Amino acid sequence: MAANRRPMNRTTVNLLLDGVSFIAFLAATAPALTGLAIHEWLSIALAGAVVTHLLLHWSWIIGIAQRFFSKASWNSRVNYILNSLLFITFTVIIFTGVMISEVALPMFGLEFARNDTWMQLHRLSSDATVFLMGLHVALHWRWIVNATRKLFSRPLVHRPQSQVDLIASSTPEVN
Amino acid sequence: MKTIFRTMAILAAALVVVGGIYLFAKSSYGQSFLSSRSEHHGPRGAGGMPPGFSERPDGAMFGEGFPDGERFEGRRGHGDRGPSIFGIGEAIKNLVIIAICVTLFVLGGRLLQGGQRDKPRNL
Repeated sequence: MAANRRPMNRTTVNLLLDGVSFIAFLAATAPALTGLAIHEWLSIALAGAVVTHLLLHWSWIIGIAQRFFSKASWNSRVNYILNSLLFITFTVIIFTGVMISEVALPMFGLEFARNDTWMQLHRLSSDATVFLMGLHVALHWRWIVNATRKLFSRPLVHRPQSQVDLIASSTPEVN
Repeated sequence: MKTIFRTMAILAAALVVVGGIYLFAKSSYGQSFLSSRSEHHGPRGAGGMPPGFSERPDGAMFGEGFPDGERFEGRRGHGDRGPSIFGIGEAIKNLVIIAICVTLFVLGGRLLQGGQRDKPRNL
């Protein structure tokens, strides 16, 4: 009987997406490491990752927004405010990045006049995002640790119980 | 269909933020705030040199060789366009900042919980 691959649950999908996005974020905030071209394209891809992240957590966003001024806990309110600030800074980074783009957008024939204002805002929002990202990770640290533990504790391949018994009976006991 | 509507809602919220930022950047307060930061960090126009930079003994200006004539500053400037392994320092710096935030938060939480456990109960 062939072993069945265990399908990924939602927690695993979230953990993997968030992990990859975090590494991409670190790389995107270091244009000296990646070079300008990769920095711009990676940042555009990160915008998509952010939208996906928000879609995956849509029910939480709407749920807390509806209860913000009534039944929500203070922890949830702080989390919501922090996430809103993170959304704002990410949006500013993407928008200002588009306005000062030198590689990605010129490829499509879009070029904007060089403007120091957008560069300043890009730097400012980038600094703020690193700090807010630290707080975001801190607030979700327990979930990250628990989800990572679960991911590495479960077997990769799901064996039906009958196959487990067959293997157990055929394996000689070691005294 | 739900996903499309939710995506449009997210993009609409982003558009509101973009509008706010655009208005801020064009307002007199925004202009003065950003120009004061620009003065603090030094002019960054094309070919503009930060204060304190001067000619090298051989007559060349510091920063020559970079496309915009700007001194490379990692995230703070896009002078150098190619990738460089030395840029990993910036990624590590950001990772350290995030790690410090997480450490302080987790330790603070544990201290708070420990303090609450040690509080004498009223009998």
